[in-house]
Amino acid sequence: MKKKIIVACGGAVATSTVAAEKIRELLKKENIDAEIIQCRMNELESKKDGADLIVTTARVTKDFGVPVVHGVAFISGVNVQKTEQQILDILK
Amino acid sequence: MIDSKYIIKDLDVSNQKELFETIGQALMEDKIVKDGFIEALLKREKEYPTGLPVNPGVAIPHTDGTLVNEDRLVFATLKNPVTFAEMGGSDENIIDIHIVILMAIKDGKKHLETLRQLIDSIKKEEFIKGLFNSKNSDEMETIIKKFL
Repeated sequence: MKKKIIVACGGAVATSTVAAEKIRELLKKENIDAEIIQCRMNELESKKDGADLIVTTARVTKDFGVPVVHGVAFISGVNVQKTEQQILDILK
Repeated sequence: MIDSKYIIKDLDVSNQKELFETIGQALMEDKIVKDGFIEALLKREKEYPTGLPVNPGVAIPHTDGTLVNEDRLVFATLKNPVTFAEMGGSDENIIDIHIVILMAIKDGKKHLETLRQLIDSIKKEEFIKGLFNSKNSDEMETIIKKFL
């Protein structure tokens, strides 16, 4: 079954684009079929239905009922493997 | 996207507001961004900070594409560090920033390759330390062009 992943950031311009690409590569490597949607933090409420995972580069204060992984590692390079493992643990 | 005019060494500002005002004014005068860009930067930074814990402190402020006319990357090393909050962190996580890479971008997906290279370069000590230790903006430009 195809997974649905939402990548959100404060501006939906730069950081979510780069994070989404890195996630795409990770999933390809692991043979996980998924749809990746990019959006801004304030659009999460309207886009979260049916999502298996939310990855964000910004602080999350609400509970969306969907697992959230902090993706700042894809931007700062700090703790990338840990973040990738968190994503895989949720999707597998 | 890379423009010598927007590669600045030792920008002298005392705080984030002054930083955004100084860069924002220049971009607005050149009609690269629209009115409201400075306020949008400040607002976004408050809600979704862009400080990165990469030594010696790098921030990547930007807003969404609606206020941008032309794509530009602005690179500035700061004479005195300015505090930014950490991306994805809480209000207490503040970082002293010495290098600012402001992205005025209309459509992120169109520039995926450059953005990727930029984000990947930020993790490379050679790039960030290189910018930080450059003697002048020409040296900065050489380093930027080498990595991007």
